[in-house]
Amino acid sequence: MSDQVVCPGDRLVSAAEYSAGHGTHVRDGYVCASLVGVKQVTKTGGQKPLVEVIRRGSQPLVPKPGAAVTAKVTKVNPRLASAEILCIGTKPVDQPFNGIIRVQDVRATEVDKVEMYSSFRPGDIVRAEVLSLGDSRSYYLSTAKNELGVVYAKSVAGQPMVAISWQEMQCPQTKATEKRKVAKVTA
Amino acid sequence: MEFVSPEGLRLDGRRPKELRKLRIKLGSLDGTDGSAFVQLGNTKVLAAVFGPRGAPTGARSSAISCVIAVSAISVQGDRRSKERLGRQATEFSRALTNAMEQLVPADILKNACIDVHVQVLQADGGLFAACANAALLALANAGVPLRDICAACHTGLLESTALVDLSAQESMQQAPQAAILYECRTQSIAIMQTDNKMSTTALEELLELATEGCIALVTAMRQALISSTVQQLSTSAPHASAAQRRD
Repeated sequence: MSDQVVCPGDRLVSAAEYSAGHGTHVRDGYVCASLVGVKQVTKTGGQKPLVEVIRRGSQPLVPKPGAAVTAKVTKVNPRLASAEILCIGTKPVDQPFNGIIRVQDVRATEVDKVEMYSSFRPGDIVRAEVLSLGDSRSYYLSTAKNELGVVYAKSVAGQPMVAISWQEMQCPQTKATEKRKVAKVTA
Repeated sequence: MEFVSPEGLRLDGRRPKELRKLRIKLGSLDGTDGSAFVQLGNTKVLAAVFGPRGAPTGARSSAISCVIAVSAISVQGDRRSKERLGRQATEFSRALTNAMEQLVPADILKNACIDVHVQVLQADGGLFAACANAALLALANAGVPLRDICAACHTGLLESTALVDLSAQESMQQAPQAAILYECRTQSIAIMQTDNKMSTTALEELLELATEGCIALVTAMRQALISSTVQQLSTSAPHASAAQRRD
């Protein structure tokens, strides 16, 4: 077992024959470890085998492009909605990361007709995807997929609302409808 | 004063090219993301890593910050000498912050910040080398991706003999001294700090010795990291399933 444990900077294998996975980086034509952990080679059908360094215990949790996140909307203006990233995948973060949903990333179609106030309100819980690492302050998030959007929102009366279409949610108490970009949550 | 006896021994009984005893303890602090205790002879430092976590609102010049604090109990002497050590610590924190920014991949640091705190518990020469080593071990312990493991080492030229890993008594002398942070893989010097006047030949001699010292320290640091991982593997359940570790 101990011979498989590697340290940051250790050359693992040639980058020409293997592809670099989690916990590794490529330098000078070699796949090198960037974590302390156990080296693991997984064979993938047809392609180059994948080399990873697997770490036990806690791992740093940082949003990566393409990751599904759960965020809480904090501010909304006509161009963008600010949100705090609370969960990455299924794991909660210790301290929220800042995210931004820009108006062009709210939905996939009819992008120019999106109205920010009819899509999100402060306090909404949103499922989103990390688009890119964004600027130095916040991550850019996107809800431009059916399964992404508002999953939990409270009405003016303070009741959690029920989704009635992909654009509307209804308050169970007052029966008033409010506009949101609703996520299609699959059971 | 005689720093190397005719028998070739230093004041504390070491040979000129002998490092002091190195003790490393990883993950000893709860409530941090990673920590390391490093003891080099009588120099004791404790490093803790917090993060990566969401960057606080408001612009920050750097996403990784390293703060070296010299505690009041760590040094003998009057207030002034403690203040001087504190100023030197601030200077070295800056250099160490710079070096760490190069070491941690940019995609981790894009919108997240990492705080590294180093507390000096006891100062007895080679202080900043110990701080740098502890900080790097704590980062590795926290699982922050690193390009390479580096080590830092302090050397001095006393009575025209190059000595590695100076004690407090030796480093108090007005003699050429050099401390480096060395990257083993690229074989490059990340930080170099020199004190007092020296000739280029003296510098070359010191750098060569410091490099040797760093390589020896890296070996010990790697050993500590590997053995702590092996220990972790043997105490906890067998491998986590692929689904658990992916996200």
